[in-house]
This record gives sequence, C-alpha cells and structure tokens, in this order.
Amino acid sequence: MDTMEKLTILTDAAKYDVACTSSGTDRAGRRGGIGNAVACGICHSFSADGRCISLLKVLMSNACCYDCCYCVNRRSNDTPRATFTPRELADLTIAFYRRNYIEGLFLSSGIVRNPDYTAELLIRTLSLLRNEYRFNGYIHCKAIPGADERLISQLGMLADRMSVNIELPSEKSLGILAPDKSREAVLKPMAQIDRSIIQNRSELTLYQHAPRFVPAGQSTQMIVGATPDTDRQILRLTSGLYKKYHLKRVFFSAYMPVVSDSRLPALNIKPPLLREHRLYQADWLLRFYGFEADEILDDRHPDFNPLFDPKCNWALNHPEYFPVEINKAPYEMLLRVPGIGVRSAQRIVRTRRACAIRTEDLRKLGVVMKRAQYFITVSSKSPVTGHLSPALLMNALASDQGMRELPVRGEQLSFFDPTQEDLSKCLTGQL
Amino acid sequence: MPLKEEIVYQYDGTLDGMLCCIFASYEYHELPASIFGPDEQQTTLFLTRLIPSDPEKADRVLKGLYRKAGTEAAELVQLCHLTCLPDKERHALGFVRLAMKLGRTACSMLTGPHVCQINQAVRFLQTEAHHLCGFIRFTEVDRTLVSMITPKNNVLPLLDSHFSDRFPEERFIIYDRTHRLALMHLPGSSKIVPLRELKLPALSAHELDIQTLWQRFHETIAIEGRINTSLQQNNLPLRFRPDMTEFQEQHRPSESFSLSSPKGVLPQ
Repeated sequence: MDTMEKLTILTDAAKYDVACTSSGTDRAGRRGGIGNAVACGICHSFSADGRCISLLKVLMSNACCYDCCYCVNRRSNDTPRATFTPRELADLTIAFYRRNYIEGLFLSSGIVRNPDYTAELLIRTLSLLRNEYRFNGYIHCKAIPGADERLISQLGMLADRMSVNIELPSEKSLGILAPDKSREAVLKPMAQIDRSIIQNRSELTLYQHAPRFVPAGQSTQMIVGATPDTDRQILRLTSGLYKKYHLKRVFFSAYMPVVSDSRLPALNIKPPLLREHRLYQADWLLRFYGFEADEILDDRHPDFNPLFDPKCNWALNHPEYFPVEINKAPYEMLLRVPGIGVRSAQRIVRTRRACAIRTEDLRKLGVVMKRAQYFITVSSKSPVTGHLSPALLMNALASDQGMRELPVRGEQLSFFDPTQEDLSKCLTGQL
Repeated sequence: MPLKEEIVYQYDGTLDGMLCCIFASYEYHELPASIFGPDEQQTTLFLTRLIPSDPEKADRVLKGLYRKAGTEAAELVQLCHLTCLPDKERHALGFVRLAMKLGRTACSMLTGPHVCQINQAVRFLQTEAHHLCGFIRFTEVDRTLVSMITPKNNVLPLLDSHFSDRFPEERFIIYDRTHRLALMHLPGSSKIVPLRELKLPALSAHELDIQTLWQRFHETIAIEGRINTSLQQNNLPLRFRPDMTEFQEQHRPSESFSLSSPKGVLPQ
C-alpha cells in the first residue's frame, strides 16, 4: 500500500477527533534541529467544514481490536485498514512541517493487538521525530487507555500535550455504547498524567533543565447528542474535570451518525451543531469569564436556550446585576456584560484610567453595541433611546442561528410562516 | 508659537526617514499637511521639504520617546511604519507629539485621535503576520524552501524572527510581492533585501508528490456532514488562497509513491 492510500485511510479515520489546537507550549528553536512551539498556537489551514487544521491529524493504525459501537474503526465495521510504520509517519511529518503545512503531529491510534503494543508503536514514532530528526515542534498524543504506566509516562516525555477521551458524559452512557471501555479505564491514565505533571513541575523548580512532562497539559473530548445526558450534566462534568484533573481544554463533538446500531440515534439525524456551539460558549465562560457551571445552567434550566448564547441568557435572567457602569464597574462585572469580551474589558479598564469613556468610544474599544447597549450605562446615561419592552429586548438579542433552528418550519404545518416578531412574542408569552 | 502647516514633507520611505520627518517637525516648528513617500506623486500648492534619512537624528527621536513615554510608545511607532495605514507618517507624528506631552498615558488613550488609528493598524499588521505564520507555504527547489506571499502590510520583519527560529538549519526565501522584498535565510543569518521579481523553476516529481499528499490530507480531513464554507472563509479569507498549496490545482500522483526508504517494517 503506498503512502497516499495509507494517508487517506488514516486521515479519514482520525477526522472525528476534535482537538487540533497547538497551544500551550512556548519553546524556542534550537540550532541543529527543526521546529519551535508558540504558546498561542498557529492555525495552518481550514478545511471545508471550517475547522482549523493545525496538526497532521492521523491514526497510527485503524486496525482496532475493540468494538465501540459509535466508532467507525470498530472491529465489526467493514472498512479498509492501514497501519503506518514509525519511519514512514516521521518522514511524512517532517516533509509537511518543513513546507509549513502543519504545526506538528496529532497522533492517535486504534488498538493494534493490545494497548501496550500500540503505545510502543507511538513511542517509536515520537522518539524518531524527537531524537533522530531533532524535531522541536508540537506533538499531541493520545494516551492509550489500558497501556502500562511506564509506557504512558514515556509518551508524556516525548509529547507536548496528551489526551484521554472521556467519550461520553456519563458512566451509564459509556456502559451502553462502549462496553469495552469503563470509566475507570478512562480516568486512570488521566489521573496518572495529572500526577506526573504536578510532580514534574516541582522537579522543574529544583532543576531548571529537568526534562519536561506534557508541558502543554492534557485535554479530553466527549460526544454530545448520542445519549440523553443533559447540557447541565455535561457542563458540570466539564467544570469538574478542569478542577480535579487540571485539564487545559475539554472538547465537545456533536454526534455524527456514521454507523447504524440499535443503541444509537438513527442515521438520518442532524448533528446537534448548535448545542455543541453553546457548550463551547459555556466552556469559555468557565475558563475566561469567571462563571461557575451552576450559574450557567440550573435545575430549572437543565439545557441551553437555543435562542440566546449562555452569557446573554444569564444576563436576561439576572436583571438585578444590571445596568453596569462602564466608567466605574470592576473588571469582573464588565466581563459579565453581553457584547463585552476579555479584550474589550481590558481595553475599557486601561482607557478609563487615562480619560473618561464616552458612548461613541465603545465601538472603538471593540464592544459589540448591538448587545451591550441594553446592559450598560456610560457616565450614568443609558445608550438606548426610547422605550424598551421585554419583547423588543428579546428580539434584539436572539441569535440568528437559534432562530433558524427553531422547530417551527417543516415539522408542523402552519398557514403562516411565523415572523421573527411572532417568535419573540411567543417567548415573552404575549401570543 | 503656532506650528506652520502650509508645507509638505517627502522622505525615502524607510523607518529612519519617517523618524527624521518627526525630527524635522520639531526642528522647524512645522506640522506638515502631508508626508509623502519616495514614489508618491503629489499635487499640492504647498512648499515641499525633502527630508534626508539620518540614522543619528532617527535614533534621537526614538531615544527621546523611550525616555519620555516608555517602551510601548517607541515600539508602537516602529510597528506603525510597517502597517498599510493611509497617512501613517502623519499619524505617527501626531502620536509622538502627544506622547512627548503626556508621557506613558498617551498609549492608554485608546479612543483618542492617532492612538486609535495606530493601534488598529498595528493590530491588523500583527494579525496578518500571525495568519501568515500559518498560511505560508514553502516549495522545495534545489534544497531551498521558497514561498511567495501577497500581504497588505509589510510583515517580513515580523516573520523573520518566527521562521528563522523555526527553521534554523534551512535555506529559505519568503518573497513579498506587494512590497517587492525578499527575506533570505541561510543557517545562522537572515536579511531582507529588495527584489524585483522571483520566478520558480519547474518542480521535481518528489516535490509534486508531497504537494499532492498535502492536498489529499486537506480534502480528507473535512467532515462531510459539517461542510460550512462560509465558516471556512471567515477563518481563511480568500485573498490568502492563491498562494496556498491546498487551494492550487492538483497534480496527478506518480505511480505507487512511497515516502520512506524501506527501512521501516510494517507491523501486521
């Protein structure tokens, strides 16, 4: 089988993995070697689905001996199989890297023979890259669940980031859809990597040149929409993972029906892309905006509102915090205003030290006035002129994407296509 | 004494030259109505003052700025020179005058005149440079990596540090068609030189095969059920694509192409 065919098969098998970030490590290049790493990460291209391509994302092999029913590579699926040799994959990575196609390698694999054998294949590839080619670029490597602890820590010395896929948000869902994987098998390597990172950090304070273990931290991903878990459960799990295992990122992937199985949703369902999008928005709120999972969703609202982004939704449900005075409010409160992001909040804080901010300045500072105007005052004056009813407010803030996906058209017959105004009347209970 | 405004400056387009214009503005108590680069045609009734480049004067302006308004202000002015902001020289002059009066505070007045425009332009420059750190595509010709770009800002000085650090042992050229400048890197040294034109010879079969591999990867990694070309276009604007391998015409791969020497043994 030639390289082209293998690359096609093993890329096709890897494309459902979400994480393609190359962030978290800052490492200067070295004379005699090739490559460096930049903390913010670099996107090298974007595929037709709009996702970033930063790393050469392939499987070492798709000849998997497991039979997880949601996975294209499951043993019982009839699909062409291929396996890279370590040398072949290392050569390919360097050839792409030199031409600046990629930022590094994202290496995952189906389980060939057994977890230990698979982990050894990965280690051979990575040590070729790191030691023979003196490759300093970014490497993201999947920890192979069930592999020996020594092998996992060897991988961690070679990679920048490691990840263990948690796959499904609850033990129950895991039991139904991935009978070969248990929650413990997933969490055990995650805990091991976390311990090693912490231990390595204390070594680094003692010896500056101690070898670094997974310097860009670990991440995980889970599938959304294959099981009946609620958004609240997913978000609480996410927040728990950040706190307990110090993960750098949790990725979500909208369930994409690729195999038919009685335990799975039907093949013709649409992937819940909006739900995935809302989860990422909420994830951002957890990581950068100082929100707690329980603030974003609670018992009364276990799922996201498709019409409003989570921050807008929170603001609409908590009028007691608003309006926020631009020239006085603390940074944490500015961050809670819809239409103000981390950068614009920082700019506001900086600018108002030098001079008072006027309404017309806000746009220059990057504030999205379309949303922010309803929640702020500037020197005690609201930017909104005229009377504001709740219906108008809802209408102005509802997201276009949410409006489009409302289950009105198609699924029920209607004499009139509802207008946007009708929809917001529905929301406020006027209709 | 009010500043004289009925005059225009013309300079050589370099950073030193721009700083000398600022020097001259203080020296002659003038606030020029326009500052022209070397190739710009000017139709003006005002008197033109030719400003020669003088490294010593330029240095004095920068040092004064460092002392009075700090590193950030001095760096902002230097970066401003690389941007494609229309009338950037006059904005730089306005900003320097402000910074000399107010000190460090000037940089924080993000909404004020000149500061706002310069900050936006510099952000655009830095974003474009960051984009190109990813979007640049090298083609190997005679063991030299060659890349062509068509940026709006003069990004080469910013790309130099990134790529020289990344590929210390490579010979590479990045050619900026817009500004007709080339960044040349040899192991251990790099420089930016003016270059009229750069043409690539025919590519080797090996090179074409690798390009085809990349095109195939790019095509295969997309998930059919999620195709979203408008999102792709938001993230990767069309203007970058003519210079990117994956958006160029595909070559036919040669028969049974294998990348490695048969050293590696296929595990079964």
